[in-house]
Parts: sequence; structure tokens; C-alpha cells
Amino acid sequence: MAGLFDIFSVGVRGMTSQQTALNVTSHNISNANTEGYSRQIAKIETTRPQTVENGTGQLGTGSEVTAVTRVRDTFIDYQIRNYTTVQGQFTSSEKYLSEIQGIMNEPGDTGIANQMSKFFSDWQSVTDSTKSSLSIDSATLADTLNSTYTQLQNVKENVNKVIQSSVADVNDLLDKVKELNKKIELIDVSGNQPNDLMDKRDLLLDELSSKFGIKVDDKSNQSIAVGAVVTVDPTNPSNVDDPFANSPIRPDGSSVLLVNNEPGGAESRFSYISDIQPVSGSDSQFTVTYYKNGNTIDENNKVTFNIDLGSDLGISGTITQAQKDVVQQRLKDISENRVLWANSKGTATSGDGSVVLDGSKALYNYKDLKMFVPVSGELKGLTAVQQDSDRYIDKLNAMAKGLAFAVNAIHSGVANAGTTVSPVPAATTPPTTQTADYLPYFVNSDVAKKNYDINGVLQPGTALNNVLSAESEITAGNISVNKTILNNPRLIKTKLHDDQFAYTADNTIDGVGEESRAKMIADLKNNFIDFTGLTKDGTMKKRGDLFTIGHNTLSESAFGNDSTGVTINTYFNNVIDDIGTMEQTAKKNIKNQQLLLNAFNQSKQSVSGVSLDEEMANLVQYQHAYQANAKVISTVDQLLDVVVNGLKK
Amino acid sequence: MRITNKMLSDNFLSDMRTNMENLQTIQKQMATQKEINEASDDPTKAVRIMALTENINANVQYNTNINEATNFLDTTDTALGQVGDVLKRVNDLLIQSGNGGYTEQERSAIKDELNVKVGELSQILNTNFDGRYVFGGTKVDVKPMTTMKSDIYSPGPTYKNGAAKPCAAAASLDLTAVPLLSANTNYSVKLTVDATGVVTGATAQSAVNGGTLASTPVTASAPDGSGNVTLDLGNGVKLNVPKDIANVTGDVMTFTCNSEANTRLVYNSDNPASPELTDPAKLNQLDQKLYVEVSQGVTLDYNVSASDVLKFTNDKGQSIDLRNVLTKIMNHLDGNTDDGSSPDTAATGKLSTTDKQDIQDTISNLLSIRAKVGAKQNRMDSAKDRNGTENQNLTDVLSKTQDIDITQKTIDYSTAQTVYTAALQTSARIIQPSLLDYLK
Repeated sequence: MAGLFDIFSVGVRGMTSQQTALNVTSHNISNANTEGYSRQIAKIETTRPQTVENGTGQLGTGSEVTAVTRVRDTFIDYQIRNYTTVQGQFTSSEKYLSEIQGIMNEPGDTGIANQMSKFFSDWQSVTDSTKSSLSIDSATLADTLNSTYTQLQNVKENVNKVIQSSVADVNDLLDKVKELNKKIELIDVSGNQPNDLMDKRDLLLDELSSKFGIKVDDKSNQSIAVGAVVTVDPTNPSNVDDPFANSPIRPDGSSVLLVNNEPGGAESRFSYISDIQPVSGSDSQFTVTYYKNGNTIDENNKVTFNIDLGSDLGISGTITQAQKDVVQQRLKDISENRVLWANSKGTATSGDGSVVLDGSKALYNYKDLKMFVPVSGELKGLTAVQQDSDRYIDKLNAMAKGLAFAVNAIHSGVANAGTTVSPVPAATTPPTTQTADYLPYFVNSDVAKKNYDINGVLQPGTALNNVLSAESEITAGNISVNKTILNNPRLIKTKLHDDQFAYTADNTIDGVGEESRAKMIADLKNNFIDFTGLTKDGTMKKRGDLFTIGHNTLSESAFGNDSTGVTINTYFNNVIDDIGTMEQTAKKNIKNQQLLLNAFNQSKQSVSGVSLDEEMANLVQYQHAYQANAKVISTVDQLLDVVVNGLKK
Repeated sequence: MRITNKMLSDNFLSDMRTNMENLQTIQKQMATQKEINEASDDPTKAVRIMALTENINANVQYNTNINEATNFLDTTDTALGQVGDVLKRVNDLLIQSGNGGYTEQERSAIKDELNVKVGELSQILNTNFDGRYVFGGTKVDVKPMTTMKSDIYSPGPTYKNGAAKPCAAAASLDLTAVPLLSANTNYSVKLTVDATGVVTGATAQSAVNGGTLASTPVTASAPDGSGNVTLDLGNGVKLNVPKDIANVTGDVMTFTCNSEANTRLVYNSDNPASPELTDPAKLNQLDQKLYVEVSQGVTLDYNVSASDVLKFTNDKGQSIDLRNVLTKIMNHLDGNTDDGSSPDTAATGKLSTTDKQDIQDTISNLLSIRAKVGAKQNRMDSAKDRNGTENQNLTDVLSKTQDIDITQKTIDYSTAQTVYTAALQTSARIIQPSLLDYLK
């Protein structure tokens, strides 16, 4: 038979249990709006019962709090992270796609399309007195192309900065996770529940998952191991030498982990390539500069090394065009991605970790490079934006090139830019077709601005020939109207037989009212040109290629269609369609992902969230229980009073 | 499902965001009056809008082209009408001159009027529209026509050295590049004579207005059997000098360049020293056509050149040039042969017969040209109609694609606003109360 003191201690235990429960409740209330917090429950259990010898059986000894656990569904966490990764990808790419769309400013009254239609209209009605407005409108078109090009390049630069800070963030997050992981393990080993630390760790993992897809494995003592989901080459998933696919491994053969729970276990970090420049005199060697851990604040983190991007192509002697193309493609892929796998110190390593890219070797091989190519997430989205910007820039370049080549060809009537001589040969009688373009309409301003003489004129001979040979390098960024024409618009060739004379003033065959050549240029808006062939990967490089590789034709009176091509407007509209569709898809995806994420977050909240009403009810409940326990003690006190003071008078 | 306070407020926030987005979209569409503001709103429609805008821009340009050409044609037509009036007057004058009772003086009066008419014809053919000479072919920057007097050079008297008395014999002139001398000017050369009376050379004494005669002494050609020589004074001026024209060295011979003659209609070279255009390349420019694009791929020529009016083939297959016809008429009025070189008694008779016929042929040629111009004007008019219709259609389609339906958007707006207000009201009531309100 238990004594009164036993009841006393039952009361005390009860009060302690309720007090602890109240503590947990108040912790819940105070963290009701804490991000990542999961509500906790004090697990109250009965204490070990007392067996009473007289046959009554077991008597309870009260309650105790055995554990404070957090209420969490780890499967929902898994799903949320998955969708956060996808969401991160679309959010980052949408942000920049909408910027690109804003740069294009179509459909609108001030965009490229409008300038182009003005340009062609001007040619339609050109007379001697309107030539200067034609030249100014042409310059405006070129300027619009130039500024669009520059703005797209700026987008790429901004994206690079974001990639850099993302890499730094990721490394920072990984370090924090690692730290928490250690603490959690320690606390768990000592038999305690690290609830709040685990919440914090989960929150960091959620944040990390927006950057790229992560794999989280539960390990002993509540610790975890974190890995990254990367692009895998399905044909050869174990090839660690492929710089753009498959997970790297560590020298000990273990697969790469970002957070390793084992003490002293190998871990990886990421580094950011800030710059990549060709080594002069070589077509395949490049100098790469990267910052360890993406930390650009400290210059000590800067590492520079030389790499041969064509080391596996078997280049012997002179590089072939095909090999050059491969190298250029690799260069483009690297500059679009910019994230390197690195060891725990942040120094980049090869796929198997055997080669450390610390710049100690004079030249590294292509396979020594290991780029981080995530399957999804913000980093993937940023790479995609880089690729998109490059694609749009390439298309704009093709458009500028097509416009320049075709206008120059029609304007001069000369299919190949040719070589000019100084002094200009006198017109022969009868005149013969010119073999060189003495007055290119559109020029490459990069080269032209160095070759104008003091009066802004391109003199025939060396200066003009430099500009003509740079015509094949015309891009949307450097297309410009020949200053010689801007200074004296009356030089513009508009007459049918102008192709037989170096300058239109020499033309004795046509009167000034003859405008057939101008009409041909005006009609160019309806002409089909193979712009795809003019892109970076295309085969058409110079003016003459329109007529030899492409299927356009040029005669004195007509510019013939390339039936495999499209009109310049259609081509541009396709670019806008492309951008619009990408942006629309990204927006829709974000919306869909947001809905899904919302649903999962609701589920998470439903399980782990703090309900104030519930906690208030608990509060009242525990308060009452506490009071009741106190009552038990005071009752026992009264009973003891009876025993101590009341039995003996 | 367990519902927590945060779930309610999260839900409220996300729904509110959706509502605000809807309102923003409608607001933007209302403000811009456009359904599509960015390509991503609807890429297909956006591209269609761009293509339509491009088509409309092109059409507006075609409209400008058509208007320009129409005005040009109107000007041409008016000018051709004036040419017709002049030719009719010429015709009337020819009928009058055929009257056998007309005296030389009366015919001279007719010739005076004809001279004026030729100048008028030149002026009409130089009609200018918007800085362009409408009858100039592609040579729109230079007047196509001008008039010239046919210069006549007559040898004057020869004077003895110092004496103002004519010598006996007169020299004759052989001039091959006459326009180089100034009209209505007397030129004089000082002759050198040998002992036998044969002229051996000369120095130009006065070479007014341009000094086109050789200023250095010239040597005479070797004398022929009778002692006559030729003096080449340069620039195509040659003097045939008979023997014994001068007595001593220093005798002066004069000759005159007169421009009292008939007015000729010629193509303008824009060179005052040699007003008649002879360069075949430039003459060719006068015949070139001007073209205008009135819709995609449809190009029309719209000009009439001066040579269309002047040169033609009549119904008998003879090719006629009005310039020659007019010169011929002048010569006939002077009582000379066609080229005016010698008197011709039958000349006046030709005035009312062949000459009149030629003028009438020219008039009928002019009428056929005017008919063609009329046809072109009609074509322009119908092109303009088509252009207008097309423009209207395109604008219509563009409006249907791009513009908002205001009624619908207004209704959408009030719906969205109602939803927004309702959501606010409900949420405000749901979020506010908690168990705390009821615990005492």
C-alpha cells in the first residue's frame, strides 16, 4: 500500500509534466510564425507503476515527459524540395526572359520591326531630296540593332553575376548544413532530441534545393548526407572524364558528396569561372580564371590555369575547321555554365579528383575539366538564360548580316565585296560591271571607325579594303551605315546601271529619276533569304555566299529569292515568337509549380504548423491539469495535517 | 485535415495575389486599349500583329506612291492639253497661210507668232512637278527642252587698211562649228598679203564674247590655181578668201554672226555654250520610263517623255519629228526649201498641204498619248481603291486581333473587383477571431 508521500510525489510529477507541456506549448506559440518551424509535442507517459503486495495490483506513480518530438512528415519535405528545384529554375529564367522581352519591345511602335519597315519604305520613295532622311533612318535601324545587341550582352553579364553569387550562396549553405549536421549528431548521441536544429537544417536544405536538385540520405544519429543530382550520360554513366555529364567521384572511389556525415569524409564544393580568354597564337588553348567557392571578394581565391579544349581531338599541326567548331562549342558551353566542381577547399578538380586545377601545371587537358551541370534548379535556369540570350544574339546577328549582305550586294550590284584600287579606275566605254564595291552601304563599325579619313570618308584602296574584308564579321552589335554615305547621302546608288560605275555620279546611262536599284532594295523586304545559314553554325560567312551557298541570285535588275529561306520580317517575327513562347511557358510553369508548392506547403502546415487555437486549448488544458495536480498536493497536505496534527490531541 | 492559422493567412495571401494580378492585367488592357501588350501574352497573336502592322505600313507607302503618281499624271495630262492647244493654233495659222492672197508681210506676222508658239511648246514640255520635269524621262533634274535661233553667218565687207570703204570682192564663209561664236556680233580679221595680192595669213583682231577665234596668227592654205586661199581661224571657222581682196597687209575683213533667224525647238543640254543636247547616252535618258510600285509586285510606268510627244510614226508609216516639222514650216514661210538653204517657189503651197497634215498627225498622236495617260490615271484610281479596301481590311483584322472589347473588359473588371472585395471581406472576418477572444 503506497503511502501519502507517494501521492504527494505523484502530484509533484504531474505538476512537472504539465509544466513541461506548458513550456512546449508556449514554445510553439512563440514560434507560430517562425519559418521552417515544426510544432513540438511533449510526449507524456505514465511512470513505472508500483506493485502493491496486498493484492490490489499495480498502483500508478504518475506521469513524466519522456520526449519532446517535432511533428514532421519527411515525405512532404522531399516533395517540396523537388518542386522548389523546378520552381527555382523557372523563376530564375523567367526573370531574365521577361527582361529580354522588354529589350525587344515588340509588338510596339519603337522596336526593330518598326525601324525596318521605315527603312524599306524610305527606299520605296527615295529621290535625291529624300536620300538624307533615308540615310538617317538607316543609321537609326543600325543603332537600334546595336543597342538591342548591347542590352542582350548586358543580360548575360548580369546573369553571370547572379551565377557567381549563387555559387557563393550554395557553398555557404553547404557549410551551414555541415555544421548543423555535426551538432545534431552530437546532441542525438547524448540521447536528446535536436528538434530546433533539425528544423533549421531542413530549412537550409529547402533553400539549397531551389538552387539545384539535391539528394538527402538519412544516416545514423539523425545525421544526413547531401548529394547533387546532375546530368547523366545514359550511354556511359560511369565516365567521369566527360566534363559536361555524370557525377564526379573522389580519389578513394566514393561518389561525390556535398555534405558527408562521416568524420573526415570527402566533400565537394563549387567554384565560379569569372573569365575565359584565348591564349594568343592558339586556336584551342584558353586561360581560365576562377574563384574558389565563388568568393570574388578575396583575391587570394583567384586561380588561373591554361587548358587545351581540343586536347582529345587529335589536333596535329594546323587545326581543321571541324575541330575549331568543336572547340568553339565547348568554349560556349563553358561560358554559359561557369560552375566548376571543386574539392572541399574550393579548388577545381577533374572528374576523378586526380588532377587538381590549381594552375601548377602549364597546360591542362580538356577531360581534366569538370563542370557542374545540374538537371534542374536555379543554376540550370541561369545557364538556360545564357543559352537563350546567346541564341537570340546569334539570330539578331544573322539578321543584321543578311540585311547588310543583301543591301550591299544590291546597292553596289557586286556579289562579292572584291578589292578596290586607288585611284578609282575611270569608267570605260561601254561601261563594264564593277568587280569591287566602292561604296558599301552597311559596314562593320569595329573596323570602319579605324579606317575613316579625317573627313569621315573610306578611301578606296587599303582603308576601304580593310572594311570590305571585315564585312563578313558584321553583327547586330557593329552594323552601321558607311559614314561616307552619311556625310554625303547623294552618293547612295539608286539607279539601274549604277552597278557599272564605282560611284553613281559617274553613271551617264540613267537620269537621276531612275530608281530601279532603290526599288530592288525596297523589295528586299519580300525577298527570301536563308538566315539560318548566316547564324554562327551556318555555312554562309560572306556576302558572296548568299549566291553560291545560298540560292539567292543577283542581276542588274533583280535580286532573286532563296526558296529555302524566309523574309527578314518573318525571321524577326519568329525570334519574337520564340521569346514570347519561352516567356509564356516559363510564366505558366511558375504558376503551376506555385500551385503545387502551395498545396504541399498546405500539407506541411497541416502537419507541422502551429494552430494558435489548438495551442490555446492545450494551454487551458495543461493549466487546468497543473492546477488539479496542485490540488492533489494540497489535498495530501490536508491529509497529512490530519495525520500529523489531528490524530493526537 | 488539420487547419492552422498560418494556412488560412497563406491561402488568403496567395489568392489575393491572384486577384490582384487579374486586376492588373485588366487594368493594363484598359489603359492601353490593347489585348496584347507583350509577346508572351499570346506569342501567336503578337507575331500576327507584327505581320499585320508591317503589311499596313507597306500599304501606307503604296498609297503614298499612288498619290504621287496620280498627281504626276494629272500634271502630265494638263500639260498635254496645253500642247494640244498650241498645236491647234499652229494648225489654224497654217490654214491661214495657205491663202494665196497673203502677202510676204502677213506671212512674216504668222512666222512671228509661230516663233512664240515654239517657245511656248518648249515651256510646256518643261513642266515641273514636285521638283521633277515631267517630260524628262529619268533625266528629271534638267529641263528637257529649250529653243535656239538658227544662227546665220554672213560675210561682211572688207576694208582697206585704215579706210572705211569696202573692198570690191567679198569673202565667203565656211563655218562648221558655228554655235561657238556669239550671236549678233561682228568679227574682224586683219589680213597679210604678199606682193602678188595673194592672202598669206591673218591675225584675229576682235574676238568679242568668248574670244573663240585663234588669237595667234594663222597661215593661209596654199593658194589654188586662181590664187584663192582658205583661212582656218580655229574652232571650225574657215574663211574662203579670194585673190586680190586686200591690197596691202593690214587690210581688215569682217564677218557677222546673226541670230535674227527662226526659233528651233531642241533638246536641252543644260550647257549655255552649246544648248542642243547631242550626247546619245543622255538622249537615251529622255526615253527612260519612271516606275512606281502600287502594291506588292505590281509596278507601273507612269511618265510620258518629251520624245513620245515629238517623235512618232503616222498612219502612213512615216516617222515624223515635230521639231523638224516646225523648222520646215518656218523655212516654208520664208519661201525657202525644207532646209532653208535656197528659195523655193512651191514652199508656200506646202504650208497648207503637207505641213498641215504633219501637224494634224502630231495632234492625233497627242490624242492617243492623252488616252494612254487617261488609262493610266484610271489604273491608279483603281489601285488606290484597292489599296484603300486592303488597308481597311488589314486595319480591321489588326483591330480584331489587338484591340480590347471595351464592354467585355468593363464587365470583366467589375467582376474581378467584386471578387476582390468579397475576398477581402470574407478573409478579414475569418482571420481575425481566435480562441483568445472567448477565453476569459
